[in-house]
Amino acid sequence: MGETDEDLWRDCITGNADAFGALFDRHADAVFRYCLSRCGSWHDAEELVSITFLEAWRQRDRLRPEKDTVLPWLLGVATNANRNRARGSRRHADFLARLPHSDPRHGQHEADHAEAVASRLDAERAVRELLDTTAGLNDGERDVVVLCLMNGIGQEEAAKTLGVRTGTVKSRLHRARAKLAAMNRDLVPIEQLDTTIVEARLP
Amino acid sequence: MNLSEVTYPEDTKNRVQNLLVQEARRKPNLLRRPRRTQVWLVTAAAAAVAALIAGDVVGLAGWRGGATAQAAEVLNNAAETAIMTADPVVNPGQYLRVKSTNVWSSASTEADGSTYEWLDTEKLDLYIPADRSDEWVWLRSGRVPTTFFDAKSKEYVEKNGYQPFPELLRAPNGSFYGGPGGWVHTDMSALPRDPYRLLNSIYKQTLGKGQSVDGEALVFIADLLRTGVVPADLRAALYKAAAMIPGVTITEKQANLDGRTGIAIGRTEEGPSKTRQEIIIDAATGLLIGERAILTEPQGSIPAGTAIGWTAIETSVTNTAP
Repeated sequence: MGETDEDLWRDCITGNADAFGALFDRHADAVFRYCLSRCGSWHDAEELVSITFLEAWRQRDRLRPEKDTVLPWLLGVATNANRNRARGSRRHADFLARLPHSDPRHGQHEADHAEAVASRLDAERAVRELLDTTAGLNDGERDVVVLCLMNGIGQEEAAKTLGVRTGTVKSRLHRARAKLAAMNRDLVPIEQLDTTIVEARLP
Repeated sequence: MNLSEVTYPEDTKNRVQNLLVQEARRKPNLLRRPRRTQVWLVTAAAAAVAALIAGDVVGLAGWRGGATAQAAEVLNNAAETAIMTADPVVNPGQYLRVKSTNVWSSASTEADGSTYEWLDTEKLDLYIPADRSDEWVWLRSGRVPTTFFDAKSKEYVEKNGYQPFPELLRAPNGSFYGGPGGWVHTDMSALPRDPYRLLNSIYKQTLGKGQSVDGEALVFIADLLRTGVVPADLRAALYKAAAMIPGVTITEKQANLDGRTGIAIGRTEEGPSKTRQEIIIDAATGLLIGERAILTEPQGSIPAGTAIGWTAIETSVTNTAP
């Protein structure tokens, strides 16, 4: 099973870099999906993941170790990092310059390469289409749609990510669903808009 | 296409993890040091700086002592050389070429808790056009695993196929990887050329980071110098500022970096990052050879005294770029 997030986070706070590496390993995929669904660009999302974890290390005294997973807090850091992208990339420019982006051309056969490129474009297009459908929402409503509907994060965790009460997440979701349904009556039946439906709509 | 099936690409993930762990080791947060007195000192220093600084005139620099006499002599000589040796002139159509050999440390932790450490070498070759808004060219060898301290890590690296990704990058204004450009992200024109005010402005920017106030100021200076593009007047001021940092001393008289020998100047301290930052200067010419970080305590399989990160730089002017 390995150590819990709580154990690892305790080690991080005392400056243990390896514990931080283990937490990265555990949550990198979920953070990446969230970053991708925020910015709609594979390249930017890869960079945003690094900035998120660099900021998490820098701010690690702000989170006290708890029994729960640190993922909601990481997503909160990612949310802010995405909003302050220009500033964040400047602050971490030295780090980002050392970071080669993944390139599907490396170490793969032609066919695999084509497939990897295609699946990246698919993912980007799918995310952008979904983000387009949220154009009529306000920022708070879009936050909960991205977290709960696109990323399957629970309402309580989403509340932690956004630093609001669970009730606020519930009411934002309720309003967002109503608006989405009104805007895309044919696309998104109000009673069906949940995680699986949103995912099923992805091409 | 299902969003829940998207994963962070494995090659990026491995690299980012290594870089993050390395970065976390380099930058343990100062305020979290366990000894209460140190926390108090930092708080006091921060308060002193916040209260006293008007411009960069009053601050931490100067009144707490400085480098040892011998280290100050080497640094001040280097400053004289920097001023006397004019920077190479890059005429229209030419390039300033910054060639460097870099060593970075890598580490990996497996799910079972086993850890692996090794060093990577990367050769960088950067061509900066005379007009900096023109196209820059950057050749990167990629990180080649070069140094192992135990058989287990060597096997691990071979098994996991850590292959270098050589790159040839082109970008106007040096905006590689879609970054903000300009290559050096410190505004060098804004830094004071008066060494005393320069050091105060460095303290202002680094306070609260790194393993100590003075250690991090030296890291800032080394980070800037290793870019290879610091103009002569600022280079001289940086050397003189380093000579004013308490605890700075000659740490090795015959330090070898990438086959060149120079005097290592650094700062020994018992900080939590267990590394000592040094800059290496050619004693005969006063020219900068590079910088390095030395491990002061063993870390996993890496013994104390190992240079776990270093950069040796050479600058020249060329007529063509690849």
